[in-house]
Amino acid sequence: MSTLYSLFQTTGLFYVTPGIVVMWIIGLTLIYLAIAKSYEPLLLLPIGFGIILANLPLAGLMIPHEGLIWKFYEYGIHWEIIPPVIFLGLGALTDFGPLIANPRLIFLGAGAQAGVYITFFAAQAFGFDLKEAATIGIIGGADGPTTIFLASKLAPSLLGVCAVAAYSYMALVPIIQPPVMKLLTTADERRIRMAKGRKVGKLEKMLFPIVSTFVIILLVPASAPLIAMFMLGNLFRESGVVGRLHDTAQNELMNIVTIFLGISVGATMNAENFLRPQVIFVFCLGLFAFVISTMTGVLLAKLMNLFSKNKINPLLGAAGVSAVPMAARVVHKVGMEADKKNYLLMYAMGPNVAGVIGTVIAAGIFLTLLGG
Amino acid sequence: MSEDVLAPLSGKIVSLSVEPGAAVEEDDEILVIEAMKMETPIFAPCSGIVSKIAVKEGDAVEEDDLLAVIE
Amino acid sequence: MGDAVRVFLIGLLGVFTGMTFLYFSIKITQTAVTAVESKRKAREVAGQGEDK
Repeated sequence: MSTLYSLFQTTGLFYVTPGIVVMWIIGLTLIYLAIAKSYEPLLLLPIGFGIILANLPLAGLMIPHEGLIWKFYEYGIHWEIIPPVIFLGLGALTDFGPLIANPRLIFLGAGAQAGVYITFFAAQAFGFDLKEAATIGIIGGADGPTTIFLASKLAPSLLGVCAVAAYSYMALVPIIQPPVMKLLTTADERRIRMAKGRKVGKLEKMLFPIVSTFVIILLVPASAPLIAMFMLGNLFRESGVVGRLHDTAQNELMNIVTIFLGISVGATMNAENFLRPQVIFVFCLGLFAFVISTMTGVLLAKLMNLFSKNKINPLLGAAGVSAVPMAARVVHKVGMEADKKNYLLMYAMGPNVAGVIGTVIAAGIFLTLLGG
Repeated sequence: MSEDVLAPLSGKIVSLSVEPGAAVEEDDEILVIEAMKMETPIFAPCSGIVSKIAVKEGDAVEEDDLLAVIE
Repeated sequence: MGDAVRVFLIGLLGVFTGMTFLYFSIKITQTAVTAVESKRKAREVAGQGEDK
């Protein structure tokens, strides 16, 4: 009997706690959402699986220096390799044309970052320390890799939660944003048609990544890892001479690192770490951040309209939330509801990509002020 | 008097809703362009007869390319 | 609390400053490119004139 009992003790089953079971359910839910509802499946699927793996007793996949997934996490995320490599791919995918054609829309990308700082302020008022508050605030930027990048430096214990919050709200952008956008605009404002942008030449598109690398990194050096890779990827794209690198960066390489990103992020969520009352706050504040970012973007567009003759459709402000291209699509759809011949998609891509840059700058400033 | 229908955004033509010679009312759907993995229907700017359709299903169009002519 | 206010203000100001710089760099690039291209065009036109 006692040998049977000691045999039982060598299995993981012996160490299962209610907390662990809850984590399994969370992991399975994410996998379900990814498969059945296709909520960001490329990330939520490996994240969900990672959560389950991290909560299998005795498996030891996250034991420092030994566990397999710990190594992925340590050398991929903690060493800041994966988020910048993803940015390389994003840069290769991004067309800055709409932004260059209509440069004043860049401010809408900055406006939406106000949500990041307002949430930061709210989070620290709720009792989070400054580093944690910054990590929670950056969820409002709606940028997964940036959130993970900042969390790994400032608040690793919140990394998993913040990443899951950011990615799930990104998937929910089409549900979260429209009511806020409609509340803040009149039907007439939504019908505003944008003046046609000028055609942007190849040379300008090629110079943009080079010039903005100088400008942004000289100004906010802490944003260098992400901006450097982002702009390199974009230069691959616009230079037109390195088709192979461009192709690899945006497809194979990005897919490879996404696998390691998802599973490592998921595995940071063990029961002790995740099942804390704070986590609920993080999710609430993350939602708050998305809503406020959308609001400040729209309001800034309306403010800009007070001073300019050439009116901006205020819906574009909502695209400053950098969920590319979901936020731009939402703007397009809400715009078409008001006037079905108003095609805002391409204009919305301008603030959308500006929002990515804005979020990276915001993260860089947090890093500079709060230290690594 | 004829009016050109130009592509308001670049993308791929996924379906044509009218044929040359068909009569359309203003705001009728002429065709659908897919951009950013989202389908955007393009509507007639005026009423009239579709005299020409310049694209076919599967074509990639750039912004301002001619899609159709309505007379 | 004081720290939070500081981070809040510097951060917000920083993002807008960064984007303003980016805005002007796009504008300057645009002006420069337009100038270079119009000069090139002018030269081409002049060149053609000589041929004729």
